[in-house]
Amino acid sequence: MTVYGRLDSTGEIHVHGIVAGEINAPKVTLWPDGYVEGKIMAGEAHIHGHLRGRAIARMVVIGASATIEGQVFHHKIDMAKGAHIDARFPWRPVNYFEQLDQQLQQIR
Amino acid sequence: MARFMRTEKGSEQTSSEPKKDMTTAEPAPVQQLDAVRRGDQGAEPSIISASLKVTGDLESDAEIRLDGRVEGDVRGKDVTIGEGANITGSIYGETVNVAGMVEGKIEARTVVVGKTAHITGEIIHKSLQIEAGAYIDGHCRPEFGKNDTKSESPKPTGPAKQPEIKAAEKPTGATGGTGTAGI
Repeated sequence: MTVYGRLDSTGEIHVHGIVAGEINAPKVTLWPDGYVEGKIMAGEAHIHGHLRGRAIARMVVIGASATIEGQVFHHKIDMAKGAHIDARFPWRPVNYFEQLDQQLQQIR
Repeated sequence: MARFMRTEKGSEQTSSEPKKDMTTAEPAPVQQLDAVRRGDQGAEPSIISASLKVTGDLESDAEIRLDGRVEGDVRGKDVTIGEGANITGSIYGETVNVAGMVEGKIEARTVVVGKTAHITGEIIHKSLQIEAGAYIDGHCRPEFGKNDTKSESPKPTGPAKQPEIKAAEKPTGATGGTGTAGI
């Protein structure tokens, strides 16, 4: 399935298809068969698929099958060997994510 | 397009999160990714669970099950609107099953309206079934496929050309869904 637009969830989001737009959830998993063009905003982001755009998450896990083009804002990060990365990884302090989280929760 | 999200069954799947170590997820061959983009993958249903709110359009050439809130158009083959679902926008498909709330047009060859359905908007169909108790406020016209085919569900065309990547963009719609279901 393809989603054009934004996804807001109070639960988890698993992406196996295509999302062109914004994702906002406490936990987002982009699976190897998924593709996101746009922005992922999450407490925890697991990226195993193709991301083109931004990920903003306190904890980011990048799998070996991931392809990332863009920027990954993080506080903690775990990256597997073999991932295809063409990205910047700006570190941000915890309070940056706490503030963001409050804003995101209102949207969710 | 394969599936956007999947659960083993149904929507309220708080415990359906993958327990395995994320770093062990199998790698995706490039062809597989391409296949997904072309939309010729298997027909697993795409599920929008009750805790999810979508602002924008959904497209699939397989099955879509909606239990959450959607503000935008939905295009699929088999579209099922669950009881708690709330759709504001048009729905296009071959078969559309409605048990939830729809505000907008429904256009499908076969439309099945359940007793819990609440529909505001016209229904364009070839075959229509309505269960006693359903609320329908709108025109039901047996004109599916009669006028121009442009309103029939078009095929998804791969990844979007230019998604919005605006920061701190506030949604204009209603508040998010409730519940804590995984998707």
